[in-house]
Amino acid sequence: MEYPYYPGCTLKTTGKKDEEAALEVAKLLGFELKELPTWTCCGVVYNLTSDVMADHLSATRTLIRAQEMGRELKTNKLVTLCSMCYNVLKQVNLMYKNNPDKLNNVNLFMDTEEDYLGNIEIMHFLEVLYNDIGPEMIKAKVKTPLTNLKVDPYYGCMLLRPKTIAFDDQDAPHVMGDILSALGAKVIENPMTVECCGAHQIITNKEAVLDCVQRIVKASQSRGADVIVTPCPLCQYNLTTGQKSLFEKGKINHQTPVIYLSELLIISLSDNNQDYLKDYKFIKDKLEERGG
Amino acid sequence: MVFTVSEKGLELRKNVEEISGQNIFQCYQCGKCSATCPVVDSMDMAPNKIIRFVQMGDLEVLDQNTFWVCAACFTCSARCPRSVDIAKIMEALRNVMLRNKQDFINIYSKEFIEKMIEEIPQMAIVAAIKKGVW
Repeated sequence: MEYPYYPGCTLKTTGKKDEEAALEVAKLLGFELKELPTWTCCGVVYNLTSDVMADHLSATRTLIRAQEMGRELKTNKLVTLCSMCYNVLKQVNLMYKNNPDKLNNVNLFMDTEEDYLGNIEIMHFLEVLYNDIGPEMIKAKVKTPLTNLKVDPYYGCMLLRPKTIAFDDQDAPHVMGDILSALGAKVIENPMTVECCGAHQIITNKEAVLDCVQRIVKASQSRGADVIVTPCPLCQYNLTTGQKSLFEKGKINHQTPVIYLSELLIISLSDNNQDYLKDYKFIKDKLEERGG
Repeated sequence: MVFTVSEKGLELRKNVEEISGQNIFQCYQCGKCSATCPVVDSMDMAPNKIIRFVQMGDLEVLDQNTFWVCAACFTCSARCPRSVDIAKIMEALRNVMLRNKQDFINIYSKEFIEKMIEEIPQMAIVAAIKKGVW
């Protein structure tokens, strides 16, 4: 099975680790993520006003690219790895579904592009893993069970809000937990799992982000998490650098590593996981703790 | 006591309602949005109070940092018992300022350019620009 895949800006730079791991995970699980040949920024944040259409154009272009590629691959799906891309593309898509007039206007405006027909289905990588592959199938392919490893799955906001685009329960999501359980890890229930990490406020109001990070991490640490796992490159950045600042200020006792779900999947599913285990020595130690 | 709303106050209320597509009088001031907001501690004025000020057409609302601090995480919108999309109202207030040529971020400032050199993910930079610059 081949899926059209939209990376977005961050996965090519600071989130590169996530992309590399996810593409490999896909191969191990028997599907392929085919990157769109040309793509533009998705817009990052969905414009919430009722009267500005220009902000939706970049997302619309990406949807048209997906439509073109989908014809070749005979699918109407578009997979994203980044939570914010998922959120924006899905909200724009939904807006067109609910307002055919707006779709018509945009098609008239972008007359050098082919018309967008409004039938692309946006999926996050997690959704593909959970719905199309399934935890059972993942469990069957595990080479290194993550026994002893206490993992805190952190979702953040963009996968679950607003309700119209959520692919899991808004207040008690279980998709990541189910996948992690399939890998043999011990999943921790953190009440802060759907809290915001502060997002782009890292640029203008770092203190607000540190407040958010402190709440999330403290709840995670008091439950004994060895590692926090997230699908979002911005959450990963905020939680990692936020913890560093908080640790320097003495507001937390130790720093919990924050890694991408795809990296943990590689460690568990791949034979060649030595590179990752070298980077994440704490996981290696934990795995060895269970007696070899 | 008779309470009158100024012309400008009425205009602000109308603009916020038009841009957000929300009925501001749906709000009955329970304060759930402020209780659930993850960044409320950094705000000059709690979100429910902001909505009250817009209802009353009080222009002081535009001097607060609340809508700039809002990270648009949609927690308030998800939990409002009256289904008011508060995130949209915050976006409307940002837009009232931005359309009036009052940007929150100066992208040519030294501070901002230094941020670009740090290893901050692009998505954060683009998001901040989209929320704070017209």
